[in-house]
Amino acid sequence: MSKEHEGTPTERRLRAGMLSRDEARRVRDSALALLEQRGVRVAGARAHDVLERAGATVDRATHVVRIPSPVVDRALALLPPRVVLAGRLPERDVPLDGGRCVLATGGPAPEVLDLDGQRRAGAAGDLAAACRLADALPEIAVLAGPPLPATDVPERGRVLRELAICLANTTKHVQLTTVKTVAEARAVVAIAEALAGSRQALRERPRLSLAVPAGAEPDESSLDAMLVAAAAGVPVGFSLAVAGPAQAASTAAAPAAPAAAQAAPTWEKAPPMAFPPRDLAARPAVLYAAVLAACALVQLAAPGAPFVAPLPMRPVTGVKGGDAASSTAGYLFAMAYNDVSDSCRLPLAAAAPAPPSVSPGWRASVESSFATLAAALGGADVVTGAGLLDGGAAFSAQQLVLDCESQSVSARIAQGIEVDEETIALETIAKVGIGGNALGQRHTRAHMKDVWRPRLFDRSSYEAWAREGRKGSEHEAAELAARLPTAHEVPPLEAAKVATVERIIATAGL
Amino acid sequence: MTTPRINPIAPRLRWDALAPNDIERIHEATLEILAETGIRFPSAKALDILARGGCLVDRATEVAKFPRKVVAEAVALAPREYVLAGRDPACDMVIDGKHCYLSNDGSGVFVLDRKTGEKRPSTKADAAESARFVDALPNISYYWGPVVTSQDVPPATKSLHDSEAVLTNTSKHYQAVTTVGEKAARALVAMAAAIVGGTDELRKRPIISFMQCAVDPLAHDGPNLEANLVAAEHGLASGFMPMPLSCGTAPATLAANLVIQNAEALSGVVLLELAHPGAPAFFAGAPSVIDLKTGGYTGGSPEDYLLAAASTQLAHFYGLPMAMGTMATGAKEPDWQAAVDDSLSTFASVMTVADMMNGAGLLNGSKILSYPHMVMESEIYGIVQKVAAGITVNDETLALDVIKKVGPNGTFLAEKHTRRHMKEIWRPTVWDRSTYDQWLRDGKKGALARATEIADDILDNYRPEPLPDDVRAELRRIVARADAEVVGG
Repeated sequence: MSKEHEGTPTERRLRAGMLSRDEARRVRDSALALLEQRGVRVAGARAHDVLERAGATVDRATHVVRIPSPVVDRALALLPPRVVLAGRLPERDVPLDGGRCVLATGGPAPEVLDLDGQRRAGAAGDLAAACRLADALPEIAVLAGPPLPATDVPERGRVLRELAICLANTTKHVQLTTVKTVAEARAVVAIAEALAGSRQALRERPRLSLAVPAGAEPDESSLDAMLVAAAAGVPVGFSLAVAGPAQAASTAAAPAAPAAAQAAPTWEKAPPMAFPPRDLAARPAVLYAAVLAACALVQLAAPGAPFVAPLPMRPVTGVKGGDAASSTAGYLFAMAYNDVSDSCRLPLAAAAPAPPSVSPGWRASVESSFATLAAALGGADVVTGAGLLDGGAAFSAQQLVLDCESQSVSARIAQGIEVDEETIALETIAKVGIGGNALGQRHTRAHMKDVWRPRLFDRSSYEAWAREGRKGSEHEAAELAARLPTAHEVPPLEAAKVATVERIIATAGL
Repeated sequence: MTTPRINPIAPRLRWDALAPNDIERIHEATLEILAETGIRFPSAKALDILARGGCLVDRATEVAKFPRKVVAEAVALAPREYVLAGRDPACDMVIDGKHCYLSNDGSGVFVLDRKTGEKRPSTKADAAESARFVDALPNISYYWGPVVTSQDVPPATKSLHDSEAVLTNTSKHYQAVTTVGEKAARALVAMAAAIVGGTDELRKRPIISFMQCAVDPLAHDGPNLEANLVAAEHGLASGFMPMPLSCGTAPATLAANLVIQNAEALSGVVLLELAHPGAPAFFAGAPSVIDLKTGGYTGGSPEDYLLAAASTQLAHFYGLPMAMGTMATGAKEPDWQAAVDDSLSTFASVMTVADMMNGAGLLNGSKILSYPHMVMESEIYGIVQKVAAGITVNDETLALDVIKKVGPNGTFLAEKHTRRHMKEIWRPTVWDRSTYDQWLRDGKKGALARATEIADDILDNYRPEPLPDDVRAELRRIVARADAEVVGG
């Protein structure tokens, strides 16, 4: 792996805000009003009990829970002071403290887009390769998803088998969006504890986390799974859904749709973001309400549990329909959300919209450039979704490499410009003088290493580029995507831990 | 409803790359360099003006040093707002610190031939065609350059041939970038005056402006100075564009790069205001860093975008408009890399409200013109425009009553509110939003294919508003006179 980007800055100094303080306050107040007056849909008796005990009003027929502001405030006061997503070793740890924005993979995508442009279902070998590729790329801090399913593994127990593949092929933090049952959650907790060495160690440095895909509504089973994980100290992230008037108005309202219909949708079945296109401002209030409610539930169920707020950067449905995955509004949401949550800072994972592009290239680049920059400047701790194309329907190793370069660029921008005596360098300017050159100066030698170096950007002359077969950055990315999974070595997991993980999987009864 | 001729961005979102105290520090450092190191002005006329204005001038070294007071008083004379006019008043640009206008990029030397796909040297016909193309695109508000120079004409009068080609083929504002020297500048002024009806009328309807490159670090070029002085004499806007490269013509650190750029740009404005108090002037800039692998110009990097944003803030600190290099890319094709460069540099320029953004259309470090690339960049401009509009938060837009009205898993498509506001959704021109299967059926056509279709259509069918025959004839006479003078010696 080339050394470019090893100096990729991690500290974030710049932020771009969307809303004024007054506007942000209005959005927050609106969100709290929605929770109190309209409520949120919460699936399952367990969650109902938790919220009711805390003072919320629960309609068990409609599953609508109205949460008064004081209850929300009490819950938020229980938030832990620090959330970290740990890797196998401390140097891989990701503190979610607003100081930087890191990149995570996304998924699972139903298909793999091979380097030759063919699409097919993913298998265990593809997942392992994707994990090793992510492990090799410095910009990827979290392996989330997993990026693709191992469809050659029996469906029963597949979630845990995929986790085992991830753990064997990366030393980075692993976040699963595929855990949907309490049994799976219990097994994941057991694995996390085994990896950490103890329950206490798990709480201090959780190697695994769980999330429901941003924008998706957890059903009862998924919600209970989140609460089980949270109680053990595994970081969780999900949001609830603001209720509609019919559900909130009367206990005699029609029963909620069956749980199956509310299951976390696949990428293809994800409902369009059904909001009035004009009312972009409504989205921050609704999103914030949904996250506050989820966070409150988790804190009330498991005080001090690490919680990571998910932010879908997916926008409104396009006029043409069918494409719900990309438009400019998504970038605005990332920036607006951070203004709104400023008074109570929840760690934020922004889900970059998977480009609807079906292949890596110009359009995917435009979208991922804006998404990573919006997330970086808006204050997100993590931006998920690297490597996805076709609205999330395909995982592309080439796209993963390209997204890492975009992330590196955005991270450098977010680092900003340092202005002090050393960087203003008046002495050096005077020494170089009029018409001189700074190349030989001590100051230049001292600071050259800070210049951003591309891994992929091609800056050769046209003639050199033509001579070498007109291969640009996309070709370079494809070469790295092909080479790194086999060239990069991931230190094996300790044999004892492997055995423990296998035992847990075997006895999980899944 | 007719489409507007030009489409400026009025950003509601702002982004600061520099904090106020950072700006102050850079400003103070700039004044120190101007006062103690000075700037070289290789023009006796310019040195005379600066000396009369209170600068300390060394005629042997051609270096002028600027006392703080001279700088402050001169900059205060520059107008804060003015209009850059088009031959068509619908193309007038209001330079007021609140609007961003995009131009094409300039001074390229090759064209990607649309028949062969290969690059070839540019000609006067290409300069003309490029102006016609820019005239057709609303997102390109003015013509800068030329985008590619006429290389099939006498080199000594190339700029006039360029200008003749441009002025004949667009009714948008023309900012000349290759017109240097007093003689050429006066000839260009004469051409513009012929179009609008005299030099007095040109002062009221300034359909041209001038931009010159500075010589980094800390110097100007004689003919460039003289050309801009002619512009200022006629009340035409002008500016100087530093392009310091960190690790080369500027120290490695970005703050120092900004000091160099600031000093050069500021010194140019001081000269113009001392020469012609109240002359419209602007800052310009295209700062960058050296590519440490090749030693050359990067054509695009995160430092570029940061420097662009910071430079614009500095210009506005002085109350001056900024013409910022935007959308440069080192890519040789309109590919992934070009998209990163174009997207993020446009974001940086718009979010800091760069008044003029130069510009679209060139690949490979501003060398090769590609019309499809310009169309694709126009698309990116539209996206940034939408983002820059931000989110309006009020009772109407919070729409709590609408949210409460529509139930879960519902759709708003049939709502009156939706029908009323659907037109505000951004619509792509070249982006493909079809499904994967449809994309396969359509032959895997992507954005480049669509952009090529649009570009070909413009090149084949678009015709700009022509100049009257007598005016065209006068432009040709001016150029022919200049050619004859060169031949005559």
